[in-house]
Amino acid sequence: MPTPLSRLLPLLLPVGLLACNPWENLPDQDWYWMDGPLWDPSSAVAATDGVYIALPHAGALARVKDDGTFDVVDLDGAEVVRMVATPDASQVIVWDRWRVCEDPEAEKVEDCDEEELSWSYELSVVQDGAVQVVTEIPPHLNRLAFSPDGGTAVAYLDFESADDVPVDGVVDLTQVAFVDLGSGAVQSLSVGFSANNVLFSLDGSRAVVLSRSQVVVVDLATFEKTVTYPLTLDADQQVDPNGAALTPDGRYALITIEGSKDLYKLDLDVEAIDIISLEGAPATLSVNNDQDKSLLVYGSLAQVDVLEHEYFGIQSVELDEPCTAVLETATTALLYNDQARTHDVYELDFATLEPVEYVMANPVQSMELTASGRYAVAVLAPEYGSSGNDLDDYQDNRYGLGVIDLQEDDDVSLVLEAQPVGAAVVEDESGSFALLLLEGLDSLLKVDLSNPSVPAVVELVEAPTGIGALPDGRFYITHDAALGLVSFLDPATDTLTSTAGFGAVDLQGDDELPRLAGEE
Amino acid sequence: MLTGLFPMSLFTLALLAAPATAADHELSLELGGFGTMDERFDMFRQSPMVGTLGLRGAVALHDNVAIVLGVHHGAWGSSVEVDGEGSEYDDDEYYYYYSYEDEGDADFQAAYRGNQVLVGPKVDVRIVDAFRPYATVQAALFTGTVRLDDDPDHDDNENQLKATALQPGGVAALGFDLVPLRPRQPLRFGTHLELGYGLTAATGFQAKPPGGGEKVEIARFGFGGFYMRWGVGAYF
Repeated sequence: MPTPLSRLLPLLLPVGLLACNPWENLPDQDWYWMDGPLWDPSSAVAATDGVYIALPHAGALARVKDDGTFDVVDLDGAEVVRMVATPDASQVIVWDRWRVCEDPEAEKVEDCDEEELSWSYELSVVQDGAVQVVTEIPPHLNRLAFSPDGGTAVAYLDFESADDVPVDGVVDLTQVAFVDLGSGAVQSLSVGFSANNVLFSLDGSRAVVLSRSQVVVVDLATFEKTVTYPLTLDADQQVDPNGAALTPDGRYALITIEGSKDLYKLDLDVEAIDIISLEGAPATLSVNNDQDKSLLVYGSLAQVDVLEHEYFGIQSVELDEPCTAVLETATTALLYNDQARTHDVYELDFATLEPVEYVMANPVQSMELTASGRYAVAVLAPEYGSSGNDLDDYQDNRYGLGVIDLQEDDDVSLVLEAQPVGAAVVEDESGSFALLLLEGLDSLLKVDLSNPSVPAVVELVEAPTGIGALPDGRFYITHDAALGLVSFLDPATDTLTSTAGFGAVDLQGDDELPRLAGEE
Repeated sequence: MLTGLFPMSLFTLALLAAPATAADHELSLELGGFGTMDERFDMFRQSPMVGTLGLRGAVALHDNVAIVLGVHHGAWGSSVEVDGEGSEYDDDEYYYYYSYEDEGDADFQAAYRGNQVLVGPKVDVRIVDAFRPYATVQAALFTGTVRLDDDPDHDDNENQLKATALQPGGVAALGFDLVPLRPRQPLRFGTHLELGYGLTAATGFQAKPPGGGEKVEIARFGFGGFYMRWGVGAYF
């Protein structure tokens, strides 16, 4: 007897209902923790061919482009440790590392005994989304200083910024490495303990390497030490340089010592050292190449010293409050204090040496000058502790934006809704602007510095986490999006383009050892 | 008491001694389970097995042989929290460190919605008409879609990644059909249970990035392990 089909229809009903389940209602029955992050917005390095971003979870490097696309740089299985752009932004230097197992049979990390597992390190020069040159330097050298032509870099250890100091057998803490970025050739030199500051002469012929208690001059043609200057005659005495600069003619190196009132003047041509006595321990030494003068400011002295480079005479200018930081244009300097709760900012004209005082509403956290030098933009930090109810307290307890018109000698301190997560200045034919990102706000404030009280609002696709400049004058904005999101902003037109999804690359990659033993 | 048991025993014997008939066609509603030994599937469901719902149909080819076709569906998803990892920014150079400051908020949602198609022969041993143990080997083809979304509350966020893949595989199982009622009726209702082992290939799920460009792999996993089907349906 045939079976009536209608009697079977009830069986199809539940499956039919399942098929109607809208995809928009994502199933969510569980909670899962993942090692991360998928991408690190703060790792972003802008180059001419895109923004390079580390993907820590995948151990990869992505190049994010402004056309909405991205690609992954093949590091042969290595993961990014840190990276930095070359001065002309044409290349990105990547410190990378990969797991190595002594057991040749092991193909995965989990197959390898812990005692047989180690890291190998290398330095990769990346351009156009691909590795151009690979070389090896001692892994503890975590910083690079670039020669003026960008062809040579000096790798050194900056212990203060080091997460750890990888030890591969032995570590020579007196070592620096000169790297030819074109060929990858490396020349290591022992230059003194804790060498953490490298200066280059303008013609790129020599490098001055500062280390504890001594300064070494290196000929960049031969990579040989030509002169060693001891900074103390007593071997038991240790002095640590904390600031250094070359005079514009490259003849003299000026060196300040941490906690010392002495300014060392090293004559690099005739091997002589002079010590110039100062009234205090300088916080910052800054050389102005246009004026051929140096400025010294002090955290404990309310004065700025102007040092001319012919006879090295000092002219002191009294200030109302101490300053610790200097910004300069060709004709003026802007002095401020980013280490204390003082409010003063001074404009110092090199011609008159008459300081013009500006008083910000709150202490300066950071400051930036526009390219023309007409405007200065300061992020102002809150002064917690004020408990009154007056308007001063209202302002004190909030972040602010200070705008100084150095041409009109005018300033204004604005109150910000939230803590800035990024700030930048831009100047073009249409005017001078500060671009401001505030925590938790899905918009960018574009402050016209000629009329700062009425900012324009540029809506963003997601809440921002940071902003950085691109070599072509545009900006990139990183966003709070787990799977990766970067916007590119053209400040001339306020147009935004976005690139997303790069954080999901190789989300479930396997645990294979990228380079088997013997294949490194 | 014996008088009560006697008629029951007679009925049971009569049922078990029922003469064999030709194999049945079948249409059943099934609940299933499939092993997820691949740890990578934990991103969607942290369980050794995931449950499915579907239909099984069988076409009798011979007294003891039928071809079965099963179609199952399942959807699993998780709120994924990426371990909070802070970072420190220093000029144009960076390094990062672990801070675990942001625990507590899901960073994105991961979902997998899949269909399982299994087809293969089922060979039974008819001990009695009502209880038929069987063995089956079936080829499997899983098709599924992985979706990642870092802002599932909004439909217009950039990161709505979707990738589809096919996963071939197979199952081998032992089971039984129990069709106890009205043995001589053209349409009977019964149940079945089968247990075994299943395995599919681990394949990559390639998604097209929101802004275009080449596809990138956002997930890679396979299924494998314990296999189970239980169903109720019509035998005719």
